[in-house]
Amino acid sequence: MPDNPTPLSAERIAYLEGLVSQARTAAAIFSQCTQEDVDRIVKPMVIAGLKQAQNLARLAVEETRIGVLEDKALKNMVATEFVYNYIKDKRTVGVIHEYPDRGIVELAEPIGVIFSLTPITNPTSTVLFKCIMAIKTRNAVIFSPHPSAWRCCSEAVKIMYETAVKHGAPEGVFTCLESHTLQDNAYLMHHKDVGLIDATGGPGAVKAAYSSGKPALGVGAGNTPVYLEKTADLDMAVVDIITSKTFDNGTICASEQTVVIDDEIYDRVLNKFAELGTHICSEKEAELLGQTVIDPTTGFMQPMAVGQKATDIARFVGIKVKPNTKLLIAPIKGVGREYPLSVEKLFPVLAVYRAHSVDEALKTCVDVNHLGGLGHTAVIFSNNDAIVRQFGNLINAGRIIVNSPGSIGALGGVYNDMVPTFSFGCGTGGGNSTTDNVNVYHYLNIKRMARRTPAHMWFRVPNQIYFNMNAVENLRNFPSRSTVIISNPPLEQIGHVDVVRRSLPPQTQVRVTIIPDAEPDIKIIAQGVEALNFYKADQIIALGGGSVIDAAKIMKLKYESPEADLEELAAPFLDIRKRVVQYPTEKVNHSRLIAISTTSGTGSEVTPFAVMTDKERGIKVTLADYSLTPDVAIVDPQFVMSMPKGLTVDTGVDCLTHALEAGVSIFASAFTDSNAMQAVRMVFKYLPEAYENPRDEEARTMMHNAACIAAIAFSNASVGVNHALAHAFGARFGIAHGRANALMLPHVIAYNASVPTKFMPSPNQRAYVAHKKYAMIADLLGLGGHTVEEKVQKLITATEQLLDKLGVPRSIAELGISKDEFEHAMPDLAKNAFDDPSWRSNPRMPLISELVELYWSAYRGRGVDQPKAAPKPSKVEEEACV
Amino acid sequence: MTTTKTPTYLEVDPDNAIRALQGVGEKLASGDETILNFSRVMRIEPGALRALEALAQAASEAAAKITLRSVNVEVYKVLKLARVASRFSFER
Repeated sequence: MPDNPTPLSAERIAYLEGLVSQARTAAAIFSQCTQEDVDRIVKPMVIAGLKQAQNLARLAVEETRIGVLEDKALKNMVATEFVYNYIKDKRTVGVIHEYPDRGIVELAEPIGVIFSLTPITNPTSTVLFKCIMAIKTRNAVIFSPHPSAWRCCSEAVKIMYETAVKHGAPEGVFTCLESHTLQDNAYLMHHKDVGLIDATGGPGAVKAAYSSGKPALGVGAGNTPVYLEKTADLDMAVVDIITSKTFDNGTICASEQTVVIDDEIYDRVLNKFAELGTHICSEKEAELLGQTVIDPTTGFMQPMAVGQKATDIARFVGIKVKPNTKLLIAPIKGVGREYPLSVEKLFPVLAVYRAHSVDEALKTCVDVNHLGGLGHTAVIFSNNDAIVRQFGNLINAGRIIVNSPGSIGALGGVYNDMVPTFSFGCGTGGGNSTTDNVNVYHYLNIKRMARRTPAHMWFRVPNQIYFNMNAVENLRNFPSRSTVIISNPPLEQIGHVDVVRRSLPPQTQVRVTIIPDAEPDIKIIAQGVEALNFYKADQIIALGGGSVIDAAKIMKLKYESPEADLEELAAPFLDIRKRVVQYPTEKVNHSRLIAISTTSGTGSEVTPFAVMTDKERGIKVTLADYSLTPDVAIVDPQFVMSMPKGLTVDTGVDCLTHALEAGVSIFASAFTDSNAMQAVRMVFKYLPEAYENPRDEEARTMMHNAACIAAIAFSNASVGVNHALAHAFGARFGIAHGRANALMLPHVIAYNASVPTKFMPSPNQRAYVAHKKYAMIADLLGLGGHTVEEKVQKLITATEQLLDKLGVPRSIAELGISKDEFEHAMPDLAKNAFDDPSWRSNPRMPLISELVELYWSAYRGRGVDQPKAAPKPSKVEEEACV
Repeated sequence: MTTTKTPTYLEVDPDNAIRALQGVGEKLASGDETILNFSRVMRIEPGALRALEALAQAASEAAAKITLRSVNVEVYKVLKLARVASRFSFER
């Protein structure tokens, strides 16, 4: 059909609009059909196609003068029977797949109107294939066949259409453009009611489809390399290649184009080809052939050769061949424009190349692949699996066919289990959107309905926790050949180390490593690991506060897994279960870590966290992994009876903050709530007593237990924005962690209890419940109040009063930090607080401006504003809160 | 003072929808308002869809208003897909 550069006439536009309108209406009506409806239509269509296979093949050969009648009949049968066999049980209406364990349901939505271009090489088979796919997926199609295959294609469309309508498809479901121009195609490609362009054909059609701006399946040219490797079954390979390359006179674009043959088998292979009715061209014949069947200007095959018989091509070129010659084989010396026969040849001419090594063979295949064949198809014959895999990795092809014919193999369903198709997706290499064998799923919009899945939660604690006075005596239950006690100088001086040593079974070899009373650094860790290695420790006892226990956790990690990269392990993460970095599981040493806490705050004896300082880089390294959790925790109050008042307050407030933050965390669960709430209750009751009467054994015991219980809660529910603020503030101004927490705490309660500016994504929570959790805590403390708001306010007041009793500075200003100094520090404070991972489990997602506001509230101190009205509780919320 | 015409109500029988819709189209006059009750139409056939398209055209030409009442959601989606829905008013 000649190109028509003139604009479309009004009459022509009306005609095209009529086609689209008809198809749109048909598609709309079709959308009401059920799976049973479409399946009832598809089957008779397939049977009609099978019955007409030979007739349509004859029409195609007569009209196009391309290909072989018998092969085209076979293609028509594959396009119907094989495709049907693949799709018959597939669901394409309504729910098509369900994944109950993932809560995912896939539903089919038809595309509507598809504009389909079909090629000259496989005209009727492509039409049959696309009609069946369209009905199976409830779409309407406007066909635009190649102008030189219009009659046979329109006949195929008519057969499919009449059968479909007879069995219930809506009228107008298929139409075929009458004699048409490129302008017609362009008009339809850009039409707003055309949902998809399915262009099977030459590069021009594919490019036009993709240039239209519409979703398109563009399936075009290839250039199939074949590697015939020396371990291959040569008889099979030669027959397969002949079968494939001569099938329909080589018109399938997946057919073999250049066979790269190992030197060792090259002559044998060519002899076998010759024995089976192929003509091996001389060098001169090959040159002549290349000059004739390949256009020297464009470098592409001459259209007149497409789909012609080998004997006709030979006659045309002037090569003498035997009458029944099936295939012309032309040896080539290289690949590229200077070797014309190395390009795609959709006729029975096959290039062969002698390769002197595997490397040369693979490189030549890559060259062929990159000479117009990217993304399409490649073939390898080999019994060397390593080479097959290497070939697969090197070649960019949507279909890599192994030990089978390229063309029929790529069609799928005959030689392999690939999806039967008549459209080969060529991926981005071929300018296509898919590498798939195009099938029914490409004719559908697949909708995924994702149900909310309950987040998988966890609750992990040390294997054993021993608590109350003299719990250290349980050490005798832990036999060990070599125990290393890690502690610090003050604890050694007051005799705590000796208490531990005496509690161990008598036969235990005990060594003591004393580390400085400060946050550990890499050097201290390394020294500790050296001691563990020297003594071949099978048991480590950490006796101390958070710093000592954290040091012991890291020493154990490096002792057991020396290759562990602490910097890498400290990489940030959002969800501990999905973190990028995995902690080592292979261990060169095995040891038991027993943590004995000597402060009542950090709870490090049960947590999976460890903090160390990298002095060289001036940063803190926080490690978090459940493998760091001590194996045994001993919570014995005898080690805290002499704790100074200041430390009692700082650690006690830290414990309260842990409990309150775990209580409202987005990872809170019934398991963590029970611990968090109990810890809050215990702190409110016993912290003032422990502060006022340090020798009060009950108060000390309860606070020591409370710290551990709160730590169990935050080990599993994490902390929140209070900790993020305190970390940044404490680091900047050298303020003790507990004290920094105390300064923020009332303000953070008010902040979390008010309506969030931004909610945190939290699949585990069914509603925003932070304010109600605080109210629940107020109830637990017996603070009174009738509404949630009143109860929250009472909790804030009670917290203020507690902090007052403990003599904690009640504002940052009270610490002697000037307003100017604080203002100057604010950008860094806000940035560092926002970078701190602690808030990721906070119920409210803090904006940086809100962090700044919180800091200023803490600077001013007293007079916490009433929380802004929190959401009214619904039934669901109330349930969530229970 | 203006007079308001009383709307004409018509129950659409799914077995006789085409004829009913054609009948409405033929009788439309300027300013008419017709309410078609679709509550019994569970699935729309091609002929009825074409008749609705023609009715929309006729109503537009006659400056008449057609309201479709109680349209089943499946049928409503077909009208949307066929780009017919925007040419009618709908009520529950």
